[in-house]
Formats: sequence, C-alpha cells, structure tokens
Amino acid sequence: MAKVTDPLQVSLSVVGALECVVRRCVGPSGGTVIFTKDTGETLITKHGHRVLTALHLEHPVARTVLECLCAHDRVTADGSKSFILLLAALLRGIHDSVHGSAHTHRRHASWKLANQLHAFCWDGLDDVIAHGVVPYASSLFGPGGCEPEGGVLAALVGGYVGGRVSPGQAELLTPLLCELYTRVRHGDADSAAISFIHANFSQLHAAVSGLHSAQSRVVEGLLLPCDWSVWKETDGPVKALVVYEKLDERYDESVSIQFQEDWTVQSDSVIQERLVTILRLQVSVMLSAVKQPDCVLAWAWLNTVSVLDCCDPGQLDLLCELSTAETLTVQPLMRVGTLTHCRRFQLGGRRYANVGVTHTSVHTHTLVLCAPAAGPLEQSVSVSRGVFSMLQHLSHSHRHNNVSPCPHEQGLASSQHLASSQRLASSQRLASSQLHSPCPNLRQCILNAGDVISVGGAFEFVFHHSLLHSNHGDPEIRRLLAEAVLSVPRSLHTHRPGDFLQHLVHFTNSLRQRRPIREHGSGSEFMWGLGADGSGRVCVEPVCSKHQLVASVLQCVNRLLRVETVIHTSRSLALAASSEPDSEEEDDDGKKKKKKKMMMMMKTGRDTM
Amino acid sequence: MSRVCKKKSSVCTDEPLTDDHMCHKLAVMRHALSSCYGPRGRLKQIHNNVGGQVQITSTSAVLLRAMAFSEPLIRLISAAILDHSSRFSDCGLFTGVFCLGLIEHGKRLGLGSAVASRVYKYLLEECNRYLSADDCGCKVQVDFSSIRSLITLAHTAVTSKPACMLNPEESQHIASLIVQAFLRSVPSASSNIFGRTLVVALEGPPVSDSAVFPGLLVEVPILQSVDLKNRNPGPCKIVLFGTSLSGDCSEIGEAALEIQVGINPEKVVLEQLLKLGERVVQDGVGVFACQKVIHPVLQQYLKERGLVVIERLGLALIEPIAQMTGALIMASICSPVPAKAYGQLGGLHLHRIASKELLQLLPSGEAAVSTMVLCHRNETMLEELKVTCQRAEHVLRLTLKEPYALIGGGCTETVLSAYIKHTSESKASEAALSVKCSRAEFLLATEAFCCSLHSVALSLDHDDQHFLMDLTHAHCWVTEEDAHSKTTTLHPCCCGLVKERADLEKIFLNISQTAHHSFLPAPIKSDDQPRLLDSFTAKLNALNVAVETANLMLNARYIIRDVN
Repeated sequence: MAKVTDPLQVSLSVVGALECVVRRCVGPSGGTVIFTKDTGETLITKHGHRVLTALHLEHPVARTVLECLCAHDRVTADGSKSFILLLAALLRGIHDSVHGSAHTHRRHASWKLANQLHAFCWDGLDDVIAHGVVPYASSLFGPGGCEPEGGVLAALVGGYVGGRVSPGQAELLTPLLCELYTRVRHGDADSAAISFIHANFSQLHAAVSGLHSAQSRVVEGLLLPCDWSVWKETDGPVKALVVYEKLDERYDESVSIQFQEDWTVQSDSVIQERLVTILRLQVSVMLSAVKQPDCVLAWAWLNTVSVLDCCDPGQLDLLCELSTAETLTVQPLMRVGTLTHCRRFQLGGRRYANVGVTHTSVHTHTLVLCAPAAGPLEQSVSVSRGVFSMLQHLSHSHRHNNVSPCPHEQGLASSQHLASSQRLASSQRLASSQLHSPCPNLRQCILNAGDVISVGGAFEFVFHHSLLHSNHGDPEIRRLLAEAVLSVPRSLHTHRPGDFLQHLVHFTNSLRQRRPIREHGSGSEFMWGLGADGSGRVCVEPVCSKHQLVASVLQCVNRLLRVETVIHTSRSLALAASSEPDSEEEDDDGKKKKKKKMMMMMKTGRDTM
Repeated sequence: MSRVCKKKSSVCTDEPLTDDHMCHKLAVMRHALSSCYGPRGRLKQIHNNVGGQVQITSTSAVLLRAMAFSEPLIRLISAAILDHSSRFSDCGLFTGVFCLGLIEHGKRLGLGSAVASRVYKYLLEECNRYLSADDCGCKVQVDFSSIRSLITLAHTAVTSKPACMLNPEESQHIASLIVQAFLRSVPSASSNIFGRTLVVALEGPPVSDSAVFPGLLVEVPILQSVDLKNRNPGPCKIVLFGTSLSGDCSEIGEAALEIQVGINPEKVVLEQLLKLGERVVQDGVGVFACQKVIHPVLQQYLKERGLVVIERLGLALIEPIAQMTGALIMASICSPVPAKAYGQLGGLHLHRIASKELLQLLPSGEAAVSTMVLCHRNETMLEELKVTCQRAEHVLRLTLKEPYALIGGGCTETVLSAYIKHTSESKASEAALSVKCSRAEFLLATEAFCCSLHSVALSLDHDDQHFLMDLTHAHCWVTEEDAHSKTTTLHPCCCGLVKERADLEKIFLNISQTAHHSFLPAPIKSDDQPRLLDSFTAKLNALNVAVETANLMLNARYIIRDVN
C-alpha cells in the first residue's frame, strides 16, 4: 500500500514523461515511432494510442491515464495525442495556480480545482462549444442529406490521415481513399458505402510489399490473393460455385476402397455424384476455401471449369452476400452466384485472381496498398481502416440525430468545397432552438451534428476565445482551461514557435472582425485559410470528437487528483470482487510468475476530507 | 493454461538517427553494400560456424537473406531491399546504397529530418518526371527488332556479378544463352501464357558447355539409356501420374478399406496397376511418367512393350511437363485414363553432358518451355551463376512491359544528378515555397540528394580509380593511375555513348565540393549503342523505394522494443 503524498506532483511528472513521448509525433511534421518485437515484427506508427499501449506502462498513474485514454479512443478513434498534451497542460496549470498556497492546503486546493473543472465539464462546456465554436464550423453533410460532400470528405480524410502518416504518404493516401469511397458509392446518396467499406475492409484491400507506395490504386471487383489452380479464359458474366470444404469429404463411415477378386473399386461415387451435380449447375468457376484434391482439379480441367482454391473464407462470404448467392440443398455446403468477370491479375510479379460482382447499391472495388516493406505497409493499412471507422462513426451518429426535418435550406451548395456557402442545417436548428428555450439535449446536438472545423488549431483558438468571453461558471476555471487548450496548437509548431504566434494573431484578428458571424449567407463561409501545414490544402476534423476530447480530459484530471492511496494486490480485481481464492497457488508467494501486480484506486470523495 | 507473466516495460530509444552508435552501424551497412557493387565489387563469403555449405556472393538478395540484423532500422532497409529484389530481381544494392547515402549526406549537411524528407520527396517526383519523359538523356529504347540491346542488358547483368568468376568470352556466352532462353519463353501470338525456363546446374564441365535446349531435360539412370538409344525419335503420346504407383496400400491415404477374406491387397493393387498399364499401351502411349515411384513390375511390363518410363520426376518438373505437353496429371489409379488426358510430345532426344544422361522431351506445339543447362567449375560459383541467370532473364522480361533501358556504368546517376541540380537551382525559390522550407535548406537537401547519387556511381570504384564527370553531357568517366609510367590513361565514358573529345571539361566526382556551374546535360548525337544497360523498370522502382525508405527512417522519432 502506497500513500500518495502529493497526487498532483506525481501525476504531473508521469504525464510530463508521456507528453515528451507524444509531443514529437504530433501533427503532420511530427515523426513516427518504430515499434519492434524480439520476434522480428516491425510496426511503424504515429498513432498515439498505439504508441502508448505499446510502452507497457507500469506506473499506476500512467496506467490510469492510459485507461482514460483508451476509453476516449473507443468513442472517437482520434485525438489520443492531443489528450496527453491537454492533460499535461491542465495539470501544469493547476499546479501553477495552487503553487502559492501552503503545502497542506495545496492538496485541498487542487482537489477543489479538479472538482470545479469536472463540474464545468457537465454544465458549461456544451454551452461554450455550442455558442462559441459551432458557428464557425462547417457541416460535413450536405443540406438535408446524410452523405459527406466530395470536397469536405477529402478534407476530413486528409485531416485524419495527416496526423498519422508522413506528409508524403498522406498526399498519396487521401485521394486514394476518397476514390475508393466515390467508386464504391457510385452516385448513390446513402451512407451504405461507408458502412460497407467499414464492415468489410479486410476483404476490400490487398497489401503488396516491395513496390513503392505510388503504385497503390483502386481496382474494380474483389482481389483474391491466390492464383487460379485451373484457368480457363471466360468472357462476360459467369456462374460461380462457392465451396467451403473438400469435395471428397465423407460424413459417414462408408467404405471407400474395396479390394475384390478382380478389380479394386474405389467408391468415389460420393465425389462423382457431387461433381455431376455441379456440372448440372453449369458453373464455369469454382471458388473454394480449402485446397481441393487433385481429382477435382482434373475433373475441372476436363470440364473447362476454372478453379481457385485456398481463398479467404471471409472474401467468399462477402462475394456470396453481394451476388446474393443461393445455397444449394446438398452436402457439403455450396452456394451458387453470378460473377460479372473473372480475370488473372498481375501485381508486382505475383498473380492474383480478380472477380467482379454486381450489387444494387455498392460497387465493389478493392484498395491495393503498396509499400517498400511490411512495416510501412501495415501502417498504411491500419490508417486506411481507421479512416473508414471514423467516417462510419460520424455518419452513424449523424443519421441517428437527423430525425427532425431541417427548417429551411438556402444558399445552395454552389461548389463542392467547404468554402462554398453551404448552410449548416444542424447549427441552424441549434440556433433557432436556443432562441426559444434552452435545448434539452444540447450535448447530443453537438455530438451528433457532424460539424467539422479545419485542423491546425482552429478549434483550440476559437474555444480559447469563447471560453474567455463566456459567462459560464467560474472565470478562474475558464481561464485555466483556456490556457491549457492552447498547448495543442503550440506543440504542432514546436519546430517553429513563430508560426504559432502568427496563427494565433491571425485567428484572433479574424474573430474580432467577424463578430456577428451568424448572419445569413456569411456564416460558414468563414474559412480558416491556413491548415496545420500551412499549405493550400484544407483539412478538417469533426467538432464532436474535439468536444469529447475536452470532456474526457477533464474527467481524467478529476480522477487523477482524487486518488489518495494506491494498493498493490496480487489478485485480479474482478476475482477479488466476486469469489474467494479457490486455489492454493494464488496465495503462494513463492510463485511470483503467477502474481500479477494490480492496483486499486481508492477514490475518496470530497466530503471525506 | 499458459503461464501468466508480468509484462516487462518496453525499451524506448529516442531520436535513433542522432545516436553515434547507430550511425556507425548504418555506415558499416553502407560499406558492406557498396563494396559489393559493380563488376569489380568485393565478394562476401557466408558460412556458419558449424560447418556446412559456403556461399560466395555479391548479390544483395543472397547476402541479406543470409544475414540477421538486430537493429530495427537496418532490418527495415534490409526488408525493403529484399522485397524490391524479389519483385524486380535487379538494383537491390542500388536501393541500399542510395537509401543509406540519403540519410548519411543529409546528416552530414546538417539538415532537419522533416525538411530533408519533404525535399527528397519533391526531388523524387522530379526524377520520376525526368525518367519517364521522352527526351530523357539516360534512357534508351529497347529495340526488339535486333537482339543487340537485349544482349547488352543480359551482359551487364552477368558482368556485374563478379562471384560468377567468368572470363569475358564466358560471360558473352552466358549472356547470349540468357537472351536465347528469354526469346524461347516469349509466347507466340496464339497463346498468351508466358513460358518458363528451367535451370539444370551441372558441376564440373567448363562454362562453355552451357547451353539452352527447347523442351525439358530429365535426368535418367545410365542403365536405362541403352534401350532409349534404339528408340524411334518421332512424336508420341505421354501420360502423367501425380500419385504414387508403387503399389503400396499405405500410399492410398486416408480411406476406409474393405478387404475380402483371402485376398492379398498388394496383389490386387498390382493387378490394378497392370490393368492401367495395359490400357495405356493399348492407347499407343510412348512415354509413361510419374511424379513418384513406379512399381518395378509395372515398369518392366511397360518397358517390354517399348514405352519410355520416367519415375521420381518431382513436383518441380511434373508441372512444366504438363504445361508443355497439355497432359492432365492423373490423380487416381482406380479410374482409367480418359483420352483427353494424354499429352503430346514432339520427340525424345538423349544427351550426354558431363557424366550425366539427360533425356530431352521436345514440345510438339508452340509451348514456350526451355531448359538452360549451366555448367561451372565448382558448386559456389555455379550457385551464383544460377541466381544471376534467373535474375537476368527476369530483367529481360521486364522490358516487355516497359521497353526501355537505362545506361549503365554510373552514367545514369551522374546525368540524373546533373539534371536535378540544374532544375532545382533554376527554380529553387518556388520549390522551396512548395515544400515549406527556406531556399538555403532546399539547396542543401538537393546537394545531399545529388551527392547520394554520386556515391552510388562511386561505389563502382574499388581499385583506386578516379571517377570524373564531364560538364557537357554529365556522363561518368574513369581514369586509372598508372603507377609505372606516371601517366593517366583515359578510358571512354563508362556506358560507351560519349567518345573522348578535346573540348570535354571534366571534374572529379569524389571531391564533392568541386565548384561548378549547374548545367543541363546536353543530348548526345551519335549512333553508338551503349555498352552497358540497366533495367529501367527495376531502377525506377529502386529509386522510389530507396527515397521512401530513407524518409521513413528520417521520420522515426522513437524505437520502442517490446522485450517480452
């Protein structure tokens, strides 16, 4: 049992160390982390959450932070690095503000601040963001629709990708991912495409190492990473059979070979029967999840059926689902569907099979990702996967919220760019409701509105500004938070601190000039000219995940500062709560390897002090 | 249940590239790779300390596959080189030397890693644009109407591997064999399946005995060859079996057996085999081949009826045979062979090379299958020669996709660097703006990029030669200091495109800070063919992979090692 003498000091030093790790990876000009195992596996990543979990942290406070971080990451899949930065800055701010008080009062003072911050999180934060930040954001979704617009989509994807891979890779990946999305969607205006790609991403990408990454592309149809065992050229739509088991699989203990006086009889009647059935179906392609015996291949060769075996069962399932394959009523399980084309596909010296399917709403395409070696390849794959889970998260929450009809639309989208005068359907609704009555679920509105704001500190600057000019809660608390928030954009420009100040001045000026921002026709036109990298390319990030970030950090601060005692225990916490120790070896201190160090956080309420 | 262990904390190294120890390791790696480069490259001997085979090589793929690295950054480079060369078969060393050069020169010139990687990326795009342009000075069109450029490509690939230990005539011979094998594997217009070339390696006979044969060569025991000689060398039918015909019941695999009382299963199986043989003989088959073992009684039966029996072919041979003859590999002995499953052979020939009897199976149609017999004096050289030939043939195949080649001997590197230097100096300000750095930083990074290109050309030097670059065409020249006469003899330009002229001004390449004005490499107006050619496709990918890997390494801020 370890008494935490000064929780603030301990947390500050631990979070400070984590901040040092994270700081160098922040933003587009931040570096990457190479993560290796003794098994030889290499992972290259810039993903804050992955980096921190890979460290296998041991310190109890660090683990608490990580736990909060994971919880946050599950909700937004974004912002882990900002989380640490903001947390460190807040703790530092608290430390500075209680520094003047005597040592004995310091703990009480910091607890008080933490509590006030937490309270602010519940009542003031939503309001500040809704009134202060949302008006400056643009809507990701077109007026009334549930579908991200082209240019905004590219900006959103660019913002996400830019924080996770090097700038060169981001330039390649962003258009590629947008291309995949638009080609899969093919003009349809519902969000089925995002859900489809998100759910089936592992089947919809092929990773090729050894080629340089500019060779990545989008290919029509599904790409199966195996070559045809028997190949017959076919044209146009073909009937395909999908099998999951060996065709000579037996289900009963029937005799397979009989030795008789004159002639050995191999009772391959089972398989022959099956092959005859298949032949009657007039299929010209057979896709199999397992390696088929030679006699099946020989049969296919004789009957001009192409055979592809050792396919990924997941891809086969997807194929069946898309082509609405019918299941045959024979054993083993077989399904018959239609393919639009079957091709051989050469990719960097290896052969792949390419098959096309038609579906009413989605047009199947495969993302081919190339990289020089396995490590960077893994990075591209996980980033691409992440993009679609982020989009899925956004469009999902948007759809759920978008039940009430939008009041009116005006200033039709003239161009696809977010600079165009799209009206914010959602923020308008917000505005009108605020006028009449306090919105009951303001928080819900912010979280689900699908508003986006450009990256590179726009949110932080606006938030900082509106915190200082708001009239919610304690001004001291608001000042504390406002100062801390600026730490995120500051570390984006660590290599050139001058840029940060320049941006800050730029933003404050424009905020001052455009005070009545909610004027019709001018609202979302307000565009932040400079992205994080200062290039002309605009990248955006959703406001709702930023909101979530601030809320998570405030909760985490509260949690950290209220720990009084850390107890190390040898038991798993879940076990300790429910049942008695059931075996002796648990209590045996000699078996150190079974012993798991666990910590228990004693949370003491404010009233106990 | 597996043991539950406490996880150890990971080991974290920050800013790996600033570490002197790490830089030293990278320098060692660079030296190891660059010393292998080129026709005069130094050889590496690989052996383990418990005996076993010794390998002598200067091929990056063979070398790196044999080595194990503990350092993650070096492992990354090695993986990139191996993956590249497994796809393109060439320019593996170029990738490594160039990539490490970019890191080293960037560090030497004090560039920030973020700036360096952005400028490298920009310059790479510039290179790609230049190399794919029509008026590129270091690209030549591969002319398929004459075999001259193909021979040159193959010859360059062979001579750049000194571990093959070939003299000039031998390498000429091998190069022509490679081209021959390549031409045979090109499919005719009717079939679009690319053919294949098999390699048979024979230790002992001189290199000049190496040859290319159409069709396939199968080794046969000497004793058998006597009856083969008396055969009529005409077209015949062939039947192929993939299962064992040994007659053992245990070979049947997993199956439920039902054996009637009083029956000897082995005998029954043999009878079955003989029935199969009888059927095959009735169908007029000339060659009976099996991947595995054939029962001696069946063999005898077939031989008596004048069939050629080949057993123990192995998987590596049975598939090419099936492809060449159009036969179906039979998988079962229980069903009779359908007429469609027989393949056609153009004929049989018996060859005696060294101490071995080889049966040549000739294709009947246009099947593009051929066999290259490679001979060399000992095993290690033979191994290297085999690898080299396979890679050279792959390089030739790559020309079918992109019919270009790059001039060799370091001239591509010098021309490219001169071009990059010129273009980036002429538009430094705009370029610096677009990659968000100062003009000075941009020029420094360009310098590092060009130096790295030069360092690849300089890696060709292993014998105290002097490498020069002329200031008109930017080609690469070599002088060798003659110790006795105290004069320097000047060879023609490395790739042979530019002839020595009086008005060519030259500078030393290895003195990096030689001040000279940047210039656009002048196009060459001559009908000469270059003496050395490199694969265009492979080098382009190598260039891209090298820059990309260098950028990855420059971007690395931490290395976290999981020690669990």
